[in-house]
Amino acid sequence: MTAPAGPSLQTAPVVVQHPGSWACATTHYCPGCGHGLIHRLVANALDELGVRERTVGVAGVGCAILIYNYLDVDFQEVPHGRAPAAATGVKRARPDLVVFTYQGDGDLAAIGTAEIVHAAARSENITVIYVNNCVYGMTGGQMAPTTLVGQRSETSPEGRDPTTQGHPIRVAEMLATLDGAVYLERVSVTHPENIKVAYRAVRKAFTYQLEGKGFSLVEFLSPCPTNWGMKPVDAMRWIDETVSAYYPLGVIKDREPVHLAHLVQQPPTAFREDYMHGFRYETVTQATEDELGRRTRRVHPFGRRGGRWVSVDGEEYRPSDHDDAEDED
Amino acid sequence: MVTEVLGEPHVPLGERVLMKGNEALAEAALKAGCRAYFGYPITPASEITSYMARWMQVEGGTFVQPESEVAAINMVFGAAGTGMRAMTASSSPGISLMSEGVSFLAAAEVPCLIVNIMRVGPGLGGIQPSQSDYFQATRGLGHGDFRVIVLVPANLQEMVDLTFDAFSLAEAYRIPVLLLADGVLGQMMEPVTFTRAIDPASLQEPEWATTGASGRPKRVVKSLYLDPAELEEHNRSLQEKYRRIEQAEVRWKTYALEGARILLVAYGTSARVAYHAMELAEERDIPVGLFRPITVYPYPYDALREVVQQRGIEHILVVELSAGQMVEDVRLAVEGRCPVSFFGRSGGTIPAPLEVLEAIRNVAEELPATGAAPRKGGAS
Ligand SMILES: Cc1ncc(C[n+]2csc(CCOP(=O)(O)OP(=O)(O)O)c2C)c(N)n1
Ligand code: SF4
Ligand SMILES: [Mg+2]
Repeated sequence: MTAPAGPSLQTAPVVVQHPGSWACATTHYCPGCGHGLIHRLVANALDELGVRERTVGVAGVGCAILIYNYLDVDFQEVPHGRAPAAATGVKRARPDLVVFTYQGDGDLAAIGTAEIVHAAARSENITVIYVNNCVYGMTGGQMAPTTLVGQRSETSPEGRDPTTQGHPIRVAEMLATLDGAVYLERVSVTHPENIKVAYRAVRKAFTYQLEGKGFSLVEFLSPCPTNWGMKPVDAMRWIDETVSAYYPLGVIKDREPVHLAHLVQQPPTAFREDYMHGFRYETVTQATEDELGRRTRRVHPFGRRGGRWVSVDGEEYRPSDHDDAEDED
Repeated sequence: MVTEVLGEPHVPLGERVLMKGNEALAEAALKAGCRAYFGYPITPASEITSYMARWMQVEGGTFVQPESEVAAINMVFGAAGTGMRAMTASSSPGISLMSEGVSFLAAAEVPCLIVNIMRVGPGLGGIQPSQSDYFQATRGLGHGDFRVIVLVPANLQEMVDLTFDAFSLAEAYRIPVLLLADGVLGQMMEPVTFTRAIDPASLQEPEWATTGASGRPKRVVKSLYLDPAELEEHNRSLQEKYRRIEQAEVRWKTYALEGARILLVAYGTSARVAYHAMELAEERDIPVGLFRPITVYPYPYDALREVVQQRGIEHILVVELSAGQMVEDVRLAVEGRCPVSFFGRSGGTIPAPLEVLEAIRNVAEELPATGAAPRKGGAS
């Protein structure tokens, strides 16, 4: 960012220049919440890379659903957990756009687990900003898949018990097993040094997208003082001392996309074009019209395995024109 | 990536060709300028997805086989949200999974095409044809006060033509359109002719689409309105749109109304069976006509009521591949002006025309005797 040019500090009020991608809305987040800061890092990165005008964000459902009020870029707001699917749709339809999702840990690691895993497996060329605050913030502090063992929440009032409530999910590590995941880093926003690292991670994730490298995700450990029942400073300390012990900070994976072209199977030689659906049509002759005049319908039990022609009067009927070898019952 | 084109890439325009329903529908969507397809396999709709896998890339579009129908409908949201013609196709259980997404699409006013090649339920049910998703299609496609346009073809040419119309209706009203067909229409072969192909480049980018805020204010495609007054206003404008659709987009067809005393009401495949039964009845001098809705939302309530009134219909027989769903709309339409009976088969069985004829006979026996000469039928 460049410093604002203009009147000297003596003659004008101090204005901290905000990124062009920043909409300057009044925050609705609780004091000490991590979301606002993380939004700001995203806005900064979009501006630094000069891509605001061709960015589409996809907002997950959680406290940050209103992210589109804070960022001055096009947005889609989609069902809880489905942002990676919608982002896939946007990016596939318009590969020239810069596409990112912004999702909480409930959104991404509970209801949307399938969508994030498969977006990563397909190596969708998108950037995922994943905000892990170990709790469902928006709905009032229920247990999330990321809630730590022993952590109290609305739905784990005695503390999360792994024997009945399972173990917390380390999303970045889980996704790292997928060949399609290219860049995964876990960061936090607890103090300026961490914020700098976090910013670089966000910028790198977007840069990778611009370079067409594939799927990247930055996992933020983020405070939710309200639902943790802590003062903001204590929440920051808890992240540093406890949360990041379970969710270690750092680059989890950063590698060139795996090009598996050499492994791609050749189609079996028995592959027959006309054996598959949709590869064939027949021009209608009078003869076939006459056959159709007998009001037949074709019944295909499972896919193409088996199948017969039945007249609507119930009698078995097989017009010779349409016989396929694979249609033998 | 270079794709080798295997065989003929296009079904030629203007030629009468024999195609399977699902494939004809997919080809129609491509020719209508659809360039984004997302579909999860399910019998009896799978050929649509296979066809798209084969041809979408050749057409320069995008195809993804997603991890579920939930993902499919949200991919449609994303792609259609950029203003592109996008669609998905599935069968009954898959459509149930899409409900939340459809509600979001309707609320955010994102146009798209959803195809349901119905199979029999409930539950996993079976893979045989059915029309038992009528309630879902016309009433229960998701939570909240919303509607989608529902088109119900009865033959493959109509299915092809309605696929083109589906995209233009979706865009004209910024609404999801559901093409509701059953396993018979999806799996059968019939001759079709494609008369046109739309170049997607010729379609205008809509002024609401999220394409990057370049030289204009940002756009948000969304359904969240936390302020009740704002949401009520949004909902009011949706309802106003639905009223316009109910005024302008109702479609139906009638057959052999001349002299009819009994009226069959049926759509899709059951209309084909009903038509055959009507011919059999005619041969036996039973005065039967047929009313076939082509849109079931908006439903042709007024048209049906007028037929009943103007033609002096004495009894209606609704034929469905279900335990009786559309029959409720027929009752709403005729408002007690004449008795409404129902004949349906469920479980995936298609009734034979003779079965329907039997049901017509039962109704005919109840009619008061008249001195009038048996009428000669004719399509109107
Ligand atoms: C289908 C569906 N189920 C449940 C909800 C309710 N809901 C909204 S946000 C949320 C959890 C959000 O938690 P998280 O993703 O961690 O975001 P945070 O608020 O913590 O940032 C839930 C369960 C919903 N909107 N949609
Ligand atoms: S509830 Fe938690 S996540 Fe939500 S705004 Fe408040 S602090 Fe932030
Ligand atoms: Mg959370």
